[in-house]
Amino acid sequence: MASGTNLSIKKRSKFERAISSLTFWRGVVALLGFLVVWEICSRMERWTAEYQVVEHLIAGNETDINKVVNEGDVLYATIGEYGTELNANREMLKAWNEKNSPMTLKDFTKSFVQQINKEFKTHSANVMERDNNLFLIIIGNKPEAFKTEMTLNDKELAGDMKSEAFKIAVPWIGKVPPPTEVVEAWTEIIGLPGYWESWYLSTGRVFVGFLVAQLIGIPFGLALAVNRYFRDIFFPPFEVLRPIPPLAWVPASIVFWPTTEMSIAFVTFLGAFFTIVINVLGGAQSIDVRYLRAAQSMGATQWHLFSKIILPGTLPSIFTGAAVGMGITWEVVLAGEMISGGGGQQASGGLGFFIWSSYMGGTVAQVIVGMISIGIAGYLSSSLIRFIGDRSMPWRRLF
Amino acid sequence: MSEATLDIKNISKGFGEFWSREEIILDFSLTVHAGELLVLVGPSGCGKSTLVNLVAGFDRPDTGKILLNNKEITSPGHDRMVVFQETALIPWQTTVQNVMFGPLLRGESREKILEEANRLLDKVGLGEFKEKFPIQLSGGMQRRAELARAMINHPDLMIMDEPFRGLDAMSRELMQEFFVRLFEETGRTNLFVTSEIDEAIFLADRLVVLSNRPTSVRKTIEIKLPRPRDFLMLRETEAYEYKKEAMELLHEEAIKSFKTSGDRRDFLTAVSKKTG
Repeated sequence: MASGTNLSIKKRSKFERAISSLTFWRGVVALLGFLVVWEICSRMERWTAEYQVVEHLIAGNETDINKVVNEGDVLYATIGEYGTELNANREMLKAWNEKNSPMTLKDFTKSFVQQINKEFKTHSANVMERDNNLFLIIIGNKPEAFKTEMTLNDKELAGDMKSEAFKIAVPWIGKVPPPTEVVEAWTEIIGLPGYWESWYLSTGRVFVGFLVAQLIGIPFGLALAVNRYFRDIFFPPFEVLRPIPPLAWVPASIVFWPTTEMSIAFVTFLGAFFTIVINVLGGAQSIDVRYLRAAQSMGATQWHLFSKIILPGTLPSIFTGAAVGMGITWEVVLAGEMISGGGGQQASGGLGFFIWSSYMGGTVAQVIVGMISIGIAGYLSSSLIRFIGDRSMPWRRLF
Repeated sequence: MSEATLDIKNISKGFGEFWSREEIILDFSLTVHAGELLVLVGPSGCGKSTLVNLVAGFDRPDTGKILLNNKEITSPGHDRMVVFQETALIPWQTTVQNVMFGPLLRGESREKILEEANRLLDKVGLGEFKEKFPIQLSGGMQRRAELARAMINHPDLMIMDEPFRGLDAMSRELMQEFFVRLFEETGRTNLFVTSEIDEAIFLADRLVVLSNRPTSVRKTIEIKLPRPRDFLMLRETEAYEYKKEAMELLHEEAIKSFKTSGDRRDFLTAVSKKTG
């Protein structure tokens, strides 16, 4: 058998092997292709739109719409790079009131629209009433051409980008911010200590829960496997608790544990614990009886059987359980942070809370930054487990 | 070391609860003389492996006794070594660790054992593969490593449970030849279980044909081929006569085993009608 002797002909570093393999480059090309497609798809709508309509909500009910304008009220708008404002000064009100009834907010908005249409050649404005809402509509060329902002007496008026006359929009992906925007959002927050504190906190919670689950789960699983009485007593309640999803424990654990931090760690622990125990139990039970018998006939004691056969024989399952458990732990810690709001303040929220608060703040690009951060964190932690597994099971990394 | 005699006296063994009990072995007796290579052949499912488990001490007979050197066997022990059907080398130990496993468990001195392990591994031709894991060895090498692992314990009795099963024809033949040399050299009492006639005749001093369930001795055939053995002997008339006799007995027993399992009978009669 040749493979036995050829194993150590040439040692190359992992990096060297990676960049010289076709698989690696296929992966790189696929990733780049994916990013390009994503970029194109999500920008398609803005590239192809002929013009854009933005609706600014001026007032949301009839009373507000027909409210009489006071002296000193200001409507302000920025369209693209330029701003314009209409000030309800005494002369203006006087001129109006001479001809008409007192000036309402609606009338005031109409005058502002006229002013915009006079001042801007590339854009036009209009007033629209719908369902007791008063809107100021700004219509312009391609969306890259302008951004709009409006205030009434320094209070911001929400702007909503509406339809375009002609556009090619890609469903689903079109709603997602493009990679370049995600990178931009990332570069904005990568220097902030809060972002790294989120990493630190989530990782800490994951590892505390995970390590405690390992420390309790491995001996528990082994005991279930080797001792019949222990299994008869503890396996049924274990099986009843196992199907309860970790997230269902969140409210209860918030009640049980004195601090939020402890309840998140507890839920994290549960996420990994059951998987670890089931893997250890299954692994220990599936050890070939021939190994045990061979050891027995060579004079092994019960302790020998455990330490020389059962424990090393279960190692592969222990690491499988660890890898799966680590994944679940990340899942659970993020959900736990979202539900419990981290430690209360944003800074102690962790990555899960970071995503949640980004979503609440309406910055989708930041949500994606958070998602990718978790992906990276999960990948790093499972790489760590694989690395330790390879080191402790030399007989498993021969082929 | 080859003075050990194995006496199996009227043992019975069955499985299942009383309402569905099936006797695998019923009132079975057999003696393996000191320094003898006794081969058991029997149709598949006749209870050979159950017998091996009883002799090895992994299981206890319901009635009767098994004596090794007039001492009753009650538990597994290193005076009897079993070489299993497929490899039972421990995957997380290197070849040399596997070989040293037994003596080290019993607390023997490491240097002495290492020396002997190296000597044995050289003898079975695995000198260069000491530090390899079992998964890196070929099937034949694994069996040889296992032989070395058994021999280092200096057992009084070697129990081979179809040890060369699963090897390809070529390595199987080589292993048989290797094994017969080893036996002729050490003269250790040997209980060899197989389902292959040629192998049985080639190796055996005495050949015991087992009946279908419940297991009993159908016939004992003395194999009077001279030692040292070689494969050419199998072509001689004498060997052919042994083979013919054993084949006929085995065929009868095998048919019985088909007939005892209900609906298979229809299948067999259908086939025999078709083939004429």
